[in-house]
Amino acid sequence: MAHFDIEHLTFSYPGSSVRVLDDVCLSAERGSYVTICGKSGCGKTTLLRHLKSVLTPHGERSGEVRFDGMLLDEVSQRDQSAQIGFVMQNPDSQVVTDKVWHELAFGLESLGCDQRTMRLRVAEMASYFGIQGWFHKDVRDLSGGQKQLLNLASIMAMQPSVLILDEPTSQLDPIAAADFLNTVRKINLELGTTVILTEHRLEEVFTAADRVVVMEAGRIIADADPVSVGEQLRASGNDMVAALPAPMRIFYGVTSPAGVGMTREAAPGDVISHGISSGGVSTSERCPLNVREGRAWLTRAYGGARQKPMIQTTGAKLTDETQGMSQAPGAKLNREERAIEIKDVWFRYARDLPDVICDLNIDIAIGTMHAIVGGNGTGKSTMLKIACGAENPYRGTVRLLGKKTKDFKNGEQFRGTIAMLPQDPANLLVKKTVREDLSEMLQFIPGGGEDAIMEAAQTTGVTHLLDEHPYDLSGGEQQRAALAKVLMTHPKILLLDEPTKGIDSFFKARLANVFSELKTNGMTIVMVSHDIEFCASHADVVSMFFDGSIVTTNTPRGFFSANSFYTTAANRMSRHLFPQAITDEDVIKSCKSITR
Amino acid sequence: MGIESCHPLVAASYFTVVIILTAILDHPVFLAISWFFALMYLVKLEGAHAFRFIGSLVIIAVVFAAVFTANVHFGITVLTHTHLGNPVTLESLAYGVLIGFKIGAVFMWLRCLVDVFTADKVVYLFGRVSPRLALFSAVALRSAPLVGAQMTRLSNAQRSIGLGAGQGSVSRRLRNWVRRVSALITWAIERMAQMSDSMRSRGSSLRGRTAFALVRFDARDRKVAIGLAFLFSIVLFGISLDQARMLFDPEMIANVATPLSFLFFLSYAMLCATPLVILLVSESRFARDRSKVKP
Repeated sequence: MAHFDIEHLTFSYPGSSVRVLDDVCLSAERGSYVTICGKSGCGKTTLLRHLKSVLTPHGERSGEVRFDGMLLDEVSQRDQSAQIGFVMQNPDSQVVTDKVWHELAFGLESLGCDQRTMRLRVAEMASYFGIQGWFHKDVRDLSGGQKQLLNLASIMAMQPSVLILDEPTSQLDPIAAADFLNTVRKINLELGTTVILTEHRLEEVFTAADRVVVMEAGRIIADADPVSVGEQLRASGNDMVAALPAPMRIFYGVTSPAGVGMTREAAPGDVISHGISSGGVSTSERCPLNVREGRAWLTRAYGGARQKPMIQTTGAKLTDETQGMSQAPGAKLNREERAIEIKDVWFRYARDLPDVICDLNIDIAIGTMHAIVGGNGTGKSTMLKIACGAENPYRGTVRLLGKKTKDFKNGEQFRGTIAMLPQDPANLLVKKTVREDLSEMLQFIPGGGEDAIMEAAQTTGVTHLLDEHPYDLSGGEQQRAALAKVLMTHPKILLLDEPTKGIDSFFKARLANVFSELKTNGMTIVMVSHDIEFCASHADVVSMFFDGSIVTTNTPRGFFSANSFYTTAANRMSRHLFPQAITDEDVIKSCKSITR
Repeated sequence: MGIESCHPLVAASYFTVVIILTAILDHPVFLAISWFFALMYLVKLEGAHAFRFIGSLVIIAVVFAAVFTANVHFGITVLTHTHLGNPVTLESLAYGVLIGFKIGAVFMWLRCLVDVFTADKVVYLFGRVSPRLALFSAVALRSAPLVGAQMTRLSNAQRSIGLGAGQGSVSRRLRNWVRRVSALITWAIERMAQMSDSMRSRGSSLRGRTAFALVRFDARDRKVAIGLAFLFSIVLFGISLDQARMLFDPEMIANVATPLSFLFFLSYAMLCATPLVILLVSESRFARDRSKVKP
């Protein structure tokens, strides 16, 4: 008997004919680790919410869900509360009480446990999850990662037999996300708790999962072990290939004749013949799921061909791409060439607080996309605030297009010079529809009308969303709607704070297109991001931020190929053979150039 | 280390008793005792910060006394007359001063209470009444600062597109403020929905909720409680003997202080000094222990 059995579940929201879930059949064995993936809006969240009665949305429903062989609706609320743990997306809004210890006990209080039991369970949980150090803290003093771990721990305190997680890491930075997923893995391995998880960051979960389920438009299109699912997706030329972990994408890119970018055109069911493919690589190799396996595979396949000249030619070819830039990054720019000039800047939020920014110097060239990477709490976001003049440094100067930020009076820099897209784009959208939100910006455009709105909407690809409520949009859509609003001020410089946070790979690709189009029109883009892969593929210049200032500035290739920890999966996997390769495409190209 | 480290029930009862006694006892000696120890405790808790508060309380007391005397004219000992010709009496002046200082003492005790009685203690006390009440108080405690933080984020975001608080004309600023508030409400509703999902998912609507607490009623709490109850009983005894009362209308009359009265004064002083004494004793113990540690 499976732990969860979903049989022919079909669901649509009231008043809508769209089937959000369409004849979904899925079963999860006791102790298994099932990952559900798919594009935003494919029905993952709706499916998970059907696994717990209190969360099940209202609407037209047919089919059934069984928990331990019993119809879920017949399982008592008490049993469901304890047995079925549910972790949601937003770490902040799940926390109910104001103290860590109280939150840990929350579920136990609901179940009516006595003090002695609660004391023990809470102690047990705090010890298992390493929470002792912040047990007495206020919840508001925790980082996002700690909050999400607390949510997990407070659910585990009820000793559930199944743990359901709905994109639990989408709001976390990569380090916190990996920590969190490792803890989930640990629970699965050490306690045998069944895990059902949706994710868009597939790097970590693919190695952990026993089974991967891929959904598309409310249907399940693949359901097997990770390697087979990858193969199925590749064979059918599905878009989801782009979301697979880098080692898998590279493997498919090298072994399929068309290359990974072309898989879309391959006819469905076009199975690549086994044996020796045109790349000269045996496709009977098992597809690597993580960097370790990917490295081993590359060494087996190309290690023998490692000859100096070859590497150098590939290296040379790869560096060619960046020569479109007028000057090497880090070189001295003339003042006219600088969009932003930050000179000897020091900043702190209050007199008795430590410096957040110390001795910061950076020049950002006009018309480039400049990415700033670095850990949490190093002052990256503060730097953006200083760059746009929202905060003033206590020492040093900031110039925007040659004019000091101090000389912009009354926030006039925000009308046509610079604009910032904050980390939570929903904070920009305050009206009932996207259209209303955009029209309120018309006050800044003399003589602007409907065409100005359409122009911004077209650039960002939100024309079909104009009449939606901003809160009904997905993360990626919200991001673009907010961007449209920002663009209505016609800024010459655009600041972006974590633009890819919580966004899946498809929306990321669309966002990247929008950015590159803006750049072609002469806009300067400065982006603060944790998303190394995104920066490697789309930025012109990358800077590393650490401890309040910039440590180094370089082209993405120069930057990432010089790092050995803080670099892309593709680079970590292939750096022993192709030190210059930083993106999937680089590695694929390099592999193919060797065999040719 | 002070009374805040005692069980919340002990601390809460203590402050309730002291504040009520301060408010009802009209005898100047009792008031002076309460005022003095409230001041000492507050200064101990807040340091130099407290003096500003205390200074303003003295000013309030004086102003109150002046206004009271100018308007209330009972008593027989006429000191002078107001410009309207009403008598200013010694009795009404004394009573005005007494009330003024009484208000000051109550405020100081309240301030001490706020300083030491943290929110989680309040949640605990609610939990003793009803776990559900405790839950709601905890939710409220968490939500209030979050709303403030969200407002800041909204303002910052809006400012970066030129629709911020300090940008544009006055009417536009006003409109922008309204927009931010409406956006804040939307956000709050959205957030409440998510929080309620998370609560219900963890069984908040089940019957038979309990309230978890980290505190335990230990031997020291018992000792402190018994000691305070003992002192309180003596004071009550004194009150029942009319030792804590003073009449002002029409003339100032109080029972003559007998040796027994000093027992009541002393008990009341000990009662009022308890938190300060607990604090000082535990601090000196720490200091002594630390001095024993060889560097």
